[in-house]
Amino acid sequence: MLRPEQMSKISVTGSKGVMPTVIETIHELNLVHLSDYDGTWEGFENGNPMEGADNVSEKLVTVRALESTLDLSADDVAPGTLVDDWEARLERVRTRVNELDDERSEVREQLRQVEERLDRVGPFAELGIDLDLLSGYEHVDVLVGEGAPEEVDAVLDNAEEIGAYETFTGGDIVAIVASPAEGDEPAGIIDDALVGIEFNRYAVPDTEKSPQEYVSELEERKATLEDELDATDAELGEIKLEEGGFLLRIEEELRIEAQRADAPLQFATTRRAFIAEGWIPSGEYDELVTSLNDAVGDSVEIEELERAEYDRHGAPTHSAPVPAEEGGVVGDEEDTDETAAEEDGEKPKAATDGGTANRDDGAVTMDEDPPVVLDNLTPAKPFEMMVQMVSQPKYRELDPTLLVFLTFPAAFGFMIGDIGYGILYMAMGWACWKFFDSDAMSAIGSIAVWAGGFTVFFGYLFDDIFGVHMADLGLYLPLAGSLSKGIQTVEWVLLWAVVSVIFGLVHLNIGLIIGFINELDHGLKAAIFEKFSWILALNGLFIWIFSHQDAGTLGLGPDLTAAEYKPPFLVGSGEEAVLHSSDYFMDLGFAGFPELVGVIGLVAFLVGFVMVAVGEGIAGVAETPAWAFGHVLSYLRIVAVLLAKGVMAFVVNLLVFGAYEAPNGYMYFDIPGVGAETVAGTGDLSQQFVGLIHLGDGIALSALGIILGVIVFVVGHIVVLLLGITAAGIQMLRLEYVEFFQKFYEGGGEEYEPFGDDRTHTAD
Amino acid sequence: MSAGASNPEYVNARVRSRRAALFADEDYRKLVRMGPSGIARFMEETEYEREINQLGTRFSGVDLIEYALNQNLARHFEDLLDWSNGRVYDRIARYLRKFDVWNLKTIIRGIYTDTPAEEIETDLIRAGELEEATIDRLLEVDEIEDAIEVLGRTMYYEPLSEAYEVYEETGVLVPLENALDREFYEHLLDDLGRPSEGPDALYVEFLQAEIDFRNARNALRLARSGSGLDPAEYYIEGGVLFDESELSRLVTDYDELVDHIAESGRYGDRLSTALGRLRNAESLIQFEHALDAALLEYSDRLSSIYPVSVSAVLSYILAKEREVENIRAIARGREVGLDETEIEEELVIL
Amino acid sequence: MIEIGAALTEVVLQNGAVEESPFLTDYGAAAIAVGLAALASGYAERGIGAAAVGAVAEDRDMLIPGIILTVLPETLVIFALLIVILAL
Repeated sequence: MLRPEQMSKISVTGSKGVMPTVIETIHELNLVHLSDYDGTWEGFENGNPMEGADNVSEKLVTVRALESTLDLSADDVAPGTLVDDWEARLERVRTRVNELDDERSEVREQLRQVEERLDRVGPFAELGIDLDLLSGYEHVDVLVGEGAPEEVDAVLDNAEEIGAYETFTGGDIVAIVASPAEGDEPAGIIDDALVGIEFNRYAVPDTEKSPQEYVSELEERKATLEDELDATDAELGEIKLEEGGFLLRIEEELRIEAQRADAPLQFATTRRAFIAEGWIPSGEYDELVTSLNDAVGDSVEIEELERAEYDRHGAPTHSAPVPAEEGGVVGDEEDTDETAAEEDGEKPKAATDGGTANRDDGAVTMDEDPPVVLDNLTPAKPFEMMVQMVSQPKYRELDPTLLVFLTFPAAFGFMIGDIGYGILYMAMGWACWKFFDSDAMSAIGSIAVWAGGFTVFFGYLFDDIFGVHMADLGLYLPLAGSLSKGIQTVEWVLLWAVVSVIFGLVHLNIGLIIGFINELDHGLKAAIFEKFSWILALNGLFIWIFSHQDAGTLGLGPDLTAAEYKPPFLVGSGEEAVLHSSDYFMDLGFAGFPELVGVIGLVAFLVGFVMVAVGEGIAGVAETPAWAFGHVLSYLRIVAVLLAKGVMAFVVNLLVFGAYEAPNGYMYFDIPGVGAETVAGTGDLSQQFVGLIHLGDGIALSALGIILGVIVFVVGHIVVLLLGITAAGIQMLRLEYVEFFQKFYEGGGEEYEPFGDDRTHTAD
Repeated sequence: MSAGASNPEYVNARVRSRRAALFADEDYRKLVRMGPSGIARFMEETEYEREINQLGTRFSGVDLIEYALNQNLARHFEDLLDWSNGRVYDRIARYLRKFDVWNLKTIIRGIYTDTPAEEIETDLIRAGELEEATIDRLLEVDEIEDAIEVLGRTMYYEPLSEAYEVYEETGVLVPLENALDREFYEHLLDDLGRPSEGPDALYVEFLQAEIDFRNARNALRLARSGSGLDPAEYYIEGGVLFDESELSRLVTDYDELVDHIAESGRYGDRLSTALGRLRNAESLIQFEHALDAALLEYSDRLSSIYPVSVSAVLSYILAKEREVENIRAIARGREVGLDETEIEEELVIL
Repeated sequence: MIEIGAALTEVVLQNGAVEESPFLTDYGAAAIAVGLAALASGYAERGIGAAAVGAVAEDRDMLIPGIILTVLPETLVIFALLIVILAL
């Protein structure tokens, strides 16, 4: 539960003759997480990809490129079958798709040009002048464009270089014909004259036809091209349907082949032998041995090098003895060469008899840290995602998933505490779980269902449904309303503040204890100075904070608990002390710890502080205010969210229904059909606020008020509901990640990715 | 110039994510043992998926890899400009001009060697500031002089025109290439001044480092080429490591050059590993690779001091370039049948 | 910000001297406090949000971590609310 699944380091040694069979077997098993050989052993090199790998890769790249060109996905077609002449068929598909693709880009390019020309001719069609009339003059200059005709006239009138001119307009389009003042060249004179004003120039299309004809011709051409494009697309679509299954099937075949062909890259090899190492869940080791024996008999040497212990840290000497036949050891270089020399023959006894491990320098086994497979109770499983969002736990640290499971939904439920919202959260979670495929979304769905469940639970205790007390609706249920959010009674708020702090203390202590256990890996001394020191400091300080002379005094002169500086609601036997006596909830009678205990706490704090300084140096000293004090107060956000969400729902209801105030200050919502006076049991109510639904006397005003009231009610509660997720969900997550995890969590573990493949298109 | 407020947070988040997707050193260890198609497949399964899939029905082997690499590089760097606004945009755009310089150099070299336009085109990385149309026109030109005319309105026109006279006298391309480099590097530091602290100071520091290393590299190349050109003439302003006279003295003595870098307060301490490699470099190529690695390491350091600054972007640009060059070197090496150790020597690995 | 703060202090101080119907009631002061806290958390969320959107654009899986990081500064408003509720 708190530990991941146990993993075993295995090695498989054999001659290269059996390597393909071994790889195939391991690949089929889909259980071994292969270790990367880093090339550091004397005499061993990384393996090369198997024969033919490059050809497989080439085909695979082609197939995938075709799939992407055809926009093919597994849902589009039924799986196909593998045919003998697949290479030829693939080549045919490739050629055809390329042709069509070329055709398609060609047509697209033409279409683009036609559209461009259409854009250009548009203005001229508006003008209604034949295009050949707009160019080819010797003595006058012509310019067409878009601009304000009056401005154009004004500018042209004043232009010195222009002798005479005329304008033709159609819509916003202006055509200008101008002859130059004496003897000048006509070219460009209009352009020069118009420099000062806004005038968008258009080039005259090169054609003899009338603009209308020209446009219709172009549009015809465009339609033809679009048809061609559709035809090409349709043909590609046909190919997709026809060849899709085939392509997907081939891809899977080739993908698996490529995975296998590349496996030797992770092996250590000599000229004739190979060593593969990897991790496998310890429980599955026997299956590996059986499968390999079935496949290649005893011509490979399989070995469980170690069963990774949880408390081990790097040093192989601590590793647990492997219960199966002892003695199997990876051959050192000579052994392996012997193995090789015997080719794929009988089991080379030399290797097994070699006896002593050659791992004393830790060099022979590849990477040390096992991959991590989290192992949690089914209900807690979805919460693994929350832990992995920070980072995958390391193999040798405790997996905090269970603790997140125990705290997160409960704290969330407490903060929202409302039957109505809770049911909606559960419904949303269920929908998420039901309708999304991805693991992450279904995990989020399950988490939401848990959180919603607790929201209903606390909602019942708070007696709240969409911010209204069920009692105020005339509905009295056992135990309902035994707790209160404190929206109308400040004593409850103070109680929840104290409870939040206590919850924080407990939570942080658990975190530190986990940290202590994890740290034991580095030795008892490190654990004591780096974690136990914090336990002392944190608890010592808060024991002192919760101490009060009212609970027992040492009788010395000065008050060593500094009681007068502490908020009266926190400790003491005063009227306000929430843990001592109260009108609203049960009398706990706790006035605080006696002075003696407080002084002991203070001493513990100081001792812890000194140990922190020794263990973590100046950084530890600097962190003390946060770790020993601030992080605990941070849990006050729980009561803050509780209040904030409660008040928001209250305000929504207040706007909609309005409220009466009883003489004791309690507010009753003016809900239709529920007489506030009946519920309150007194007629002495004063109206405090008129709700939207009670807005008016006249029918029109009343109707408007009711409609508005319904809108505000629905929208308002949706807003509270959604803000509840970000506020309660994320604030609690923050407490888990920042305050809690910081006490122990390192993370950075390796994901378990077994060598193998999940076939989807193959029946066999 | 770009409108809008500077958005370094956004750009940084995206860049860092892409940076994390770059190949790790272990990946190179595998790649050097694969054939060209194996490499292409490996690329298809990673960041290069889009490009390989787009080109995979038409090309294969080394061609596929080369085209995909160039397209991918251009896409990533264009993305950088797409995302960024305001000051970040200006800083990035200014730095990406180095691809304009690269393209111009490639085109000029292509014209010089009478390479067909299509072949030149495949080597271009269209990620800079020059317009596509300008580059297309450049590809059609047959004479270097005409190419310079095409650049009439750009900042490269004047320096190229001046250098062209020297080129006509000597017949070597060095003056033209150097003119481009100079123009690029000297504009990098435009209007930045010499800020002494904050992210800007680091940006300047990085650019100065790049100029310093470029100077060292140019000088060594010139000294070894035996062309008789004076290294001091091609000195690029803006660095802090050498002045002109020092440079011409140092290039004659390799060890002294490395000592000079090691003794400088700025690089000596921070680049001890890279300097070790510099000392052991046997060939000019190895020296250049060691310099690349050193610059990359340096930019990494700078980008971790101010997490949300443009330094991280520059460091990513360098790292991405390195990746593309490494993959290209592996693919070409495998094609001509080099073995793993020989290829590994061609790689820039930290 | 500092200038506004100074101006506010001045206003508050002036009000202390006036006996009848203060310019700034308790509720008004509370509203200003919460408003300022909200402004602060909005400013803090600006940069985080930009970075989060960037990260999500690169990798959809970053959505949830992105949301979490973005709304962390909400703490500021929540504590402001808590204090205001307790103080009123």
